[in-house]
Amino acid sequence: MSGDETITQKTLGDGATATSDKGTSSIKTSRDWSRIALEEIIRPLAISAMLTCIVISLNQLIGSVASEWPGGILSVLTLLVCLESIHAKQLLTRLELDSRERWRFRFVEWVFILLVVRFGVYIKYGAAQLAADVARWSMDVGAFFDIGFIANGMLMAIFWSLALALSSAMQELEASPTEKRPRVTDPHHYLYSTMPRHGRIDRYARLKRITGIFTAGGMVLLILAGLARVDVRNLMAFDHSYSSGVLLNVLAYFLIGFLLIGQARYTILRAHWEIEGIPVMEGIGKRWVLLALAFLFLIGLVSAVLPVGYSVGMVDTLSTVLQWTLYVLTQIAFGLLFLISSLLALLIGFMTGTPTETQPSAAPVARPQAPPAVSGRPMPWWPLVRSLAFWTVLIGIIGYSIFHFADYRWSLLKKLSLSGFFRWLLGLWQGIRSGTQKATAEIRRAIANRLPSRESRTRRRPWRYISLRGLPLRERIRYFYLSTLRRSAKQNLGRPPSATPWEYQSILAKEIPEIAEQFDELTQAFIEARYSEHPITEEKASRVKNAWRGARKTLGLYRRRKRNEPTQTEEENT
Amino acid sequence: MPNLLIFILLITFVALLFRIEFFFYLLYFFFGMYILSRLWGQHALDNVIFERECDMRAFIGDRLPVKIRIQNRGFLPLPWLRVHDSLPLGIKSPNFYHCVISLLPFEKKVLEYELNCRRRGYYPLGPLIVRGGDLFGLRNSEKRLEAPDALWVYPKIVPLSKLELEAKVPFGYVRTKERIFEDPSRLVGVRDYQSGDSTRHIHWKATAATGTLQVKRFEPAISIESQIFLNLNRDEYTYTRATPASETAIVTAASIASYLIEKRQTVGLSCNGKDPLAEEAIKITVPPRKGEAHRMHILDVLARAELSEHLSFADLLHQDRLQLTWGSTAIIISGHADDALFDNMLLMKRSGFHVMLILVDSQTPFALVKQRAEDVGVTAHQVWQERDLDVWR
Repeated sequence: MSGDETITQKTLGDGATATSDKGTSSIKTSRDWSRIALEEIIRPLAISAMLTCIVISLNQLIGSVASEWPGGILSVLTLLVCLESIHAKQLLTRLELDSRERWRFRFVEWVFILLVVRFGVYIKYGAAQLAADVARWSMDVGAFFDIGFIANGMLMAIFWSLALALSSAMQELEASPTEKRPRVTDPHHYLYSTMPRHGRIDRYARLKRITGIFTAGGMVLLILAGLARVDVRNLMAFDHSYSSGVLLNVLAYFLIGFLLIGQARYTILRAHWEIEGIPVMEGIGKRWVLLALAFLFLIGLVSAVLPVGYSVGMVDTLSTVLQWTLYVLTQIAFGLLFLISSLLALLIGFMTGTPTETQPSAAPVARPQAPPAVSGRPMPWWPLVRSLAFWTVLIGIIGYSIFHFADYRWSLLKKLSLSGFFRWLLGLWQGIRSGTQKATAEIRRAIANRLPSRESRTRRRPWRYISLRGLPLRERIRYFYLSTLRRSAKQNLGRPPSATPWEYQSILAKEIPEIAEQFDELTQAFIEARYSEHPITEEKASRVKNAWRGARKTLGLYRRRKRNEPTQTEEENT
Repeated sequence: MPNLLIFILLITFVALLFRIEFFFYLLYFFFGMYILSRLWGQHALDNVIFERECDMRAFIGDRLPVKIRIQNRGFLPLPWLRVHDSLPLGIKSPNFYHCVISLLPFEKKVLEYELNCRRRGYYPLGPLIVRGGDLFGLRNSEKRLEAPDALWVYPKIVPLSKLELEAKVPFGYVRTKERIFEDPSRLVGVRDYQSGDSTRHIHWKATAATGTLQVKRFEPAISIESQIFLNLNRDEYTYTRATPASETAIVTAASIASYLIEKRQTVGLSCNGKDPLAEEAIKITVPPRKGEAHRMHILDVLARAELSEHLSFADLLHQDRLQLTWGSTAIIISGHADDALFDNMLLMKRSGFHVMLILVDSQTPFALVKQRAEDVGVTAHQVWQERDLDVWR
């Protein structure tokens, strides 16, 4: 194993190890230059470029109907505004401004952005147009805020916000010092332990936000790119031909998007490792990027060789497939019949000695016609196969996606089918109804049974509140114990509310040592009767009764002694 | 990427609507990414093999290096791999080893860490868990090391040389002063014949040379067949000293067993402790044997033995003394000596055994115990800590 790379604690990445050793404050210091470059340069550029790709398609669409539209300028401005948005956020984090200064910062920023948007478009329109517009604005100040400027301003605001949201979400994926568990002796430990989720950020919610922006932006981009390429009138009539070629901005958008998502995933994992103090091998980040690029390139390569055009319609293709299947089956049947009839003819020839003339075969079945081409072009064999392959792949993808989508989301509904749910509801209602009826009947019966016996008991012993003999054994033991408690409470030795029976037993034994033995037995019996399911025997109950009597007597003596004590003291004093 | 499937369906719709070939490529790209990422995450660890490599036997104070060899035997690279090895607190603090690595196709890595054998015991290692996943978080997978490993940390063995044990089994290897146990295989010289000497012991050559009858002189020797009775009942130790005292008892037992086996004697072990490998058993009994393999067996048992509450020491003595052969020595190592123990020792003496008592956690003054032991004919020793064994060095 000489070729193995040996990794000891020392050779593992210093970032996480350093943080685990030095505590929370060293997370910032452990950032190396590549990480700083990633956070400060590469990531803002990637986010801005990704968002600009959407604006490019929007500008292409607008440019297709308004040739004077300054699309190129606006695309560059969008890129700059996105970069500014991310940079301003980092600046605000670093400067730690108060609320008022933050507002001023944002105000200044937006005035500047709007001025750039207002005057930037004149790079395309030219100085003459600017002079003319300035003259117009001097006549009417309201003309400064024309519809084009407002639209551009809103566009910039949308992309400024998107860049900010993406950048913030990516930033929040990083491990923060507050998430790291302080040592138990650290004064911040209490704060950490009482914080909701221990101050942990829900990183998967942030990742969801990033992918949400990415997919929504991607869909808008595809629609815009599609509209820019296809005439809307033809689209409405579904009468447009294929368009081929690579849409560079779309490609760039998805490529950057996937790399960002891969990076976000890595950031989440790295943050978890840092928080948990797990040493990380050096160079994982670089490997991650390289593997992501290689993976995306490989998939792109495979996708590029798959058929993307279809020259026949879906229904026609199915019909052709069916016809061909029938044709092949018919040919096989004819072949079999031919073989059997030939054999039979041969046998008959041998038996009769005269060769049998075979009848001429029926007219051959006509081959199915290929479905008509969508674009009206002639229909050679190879495009048909490509079409079939295309539809097979497409149906496979759609079927797989729908099935798994439903499988993930509606698994619960699958378990509780609608009819079963109604059956369950009905059963619940019936159960509640019958249960209520039964309970009412039971209560009535119990009251009817109890009332006469209670009356008779009250009649028999009107002078006693409780009949000890009438009580169940368990209740009797409880009574003995509680009665002792009541008596001790009268002597100002009541059981504190926080004391358990055993704690109170030791308290009472300390105050009245003579009662210790009897009260110990009482406590033990009470705990057994109150908290366990052990059977209580008559013998045990009588033992407890003796202890209770003893305790009562001891308490009586204690009361008398206590009453005499001041008298004795007075006598001594006299 | 939870909404990727919806996005794929939407792309399909948009691609069919606009009939732009590039959109179909994108559709394939997304679908391929989704499927391949999931497959990657699912099968990433299929071809990863890993093993833990370390010595499974150690003595207290050893620092054992552990190597975890991880190899990716497949074509799929592993962007991240989290390795987590759970370890007992007695040999590693914190009680785990973890790290994150990455493996390219056919790459091997060796992770190293150390175990600090601070306490005797039997320590199951693991499970060793390896987690990995794809680049986009679509799927993670986990693999565990199936083969369980365990580390035995043996008790300290104090080399003894002056331990004197009494026994009455003749023809052994240990010299004794009692001439009754002369070993005819150990000739040490000749002497003049005296009335009553056996004629079988006459040394005829010496007789011829000297002209007077000479008889052979043999070296007296005994065979010490011993059984160590070790008390590991937690209730029979002082609450606060249960752990150190029981450890001292185990060290004493290991040292005596080792000494006797070095002297080529047979020795066995009876203990009322718990063996973690035999959950149901309430006592540990190793019948008397001799030899190096037997010593390792006893040390294995002593490494694993833990305090228990199931069987009292008196019951253990009562049960296992019946297995002793006549004349053998019972070495009793206990926390303290109570009446039941003295009763048992007396019975043993009366049955013809030699008994030696070693107390490791005496709750009564040792002088009293010693006096009482002498009254029943038992030698008593006190070993309060390992240093006290030095008297037998």
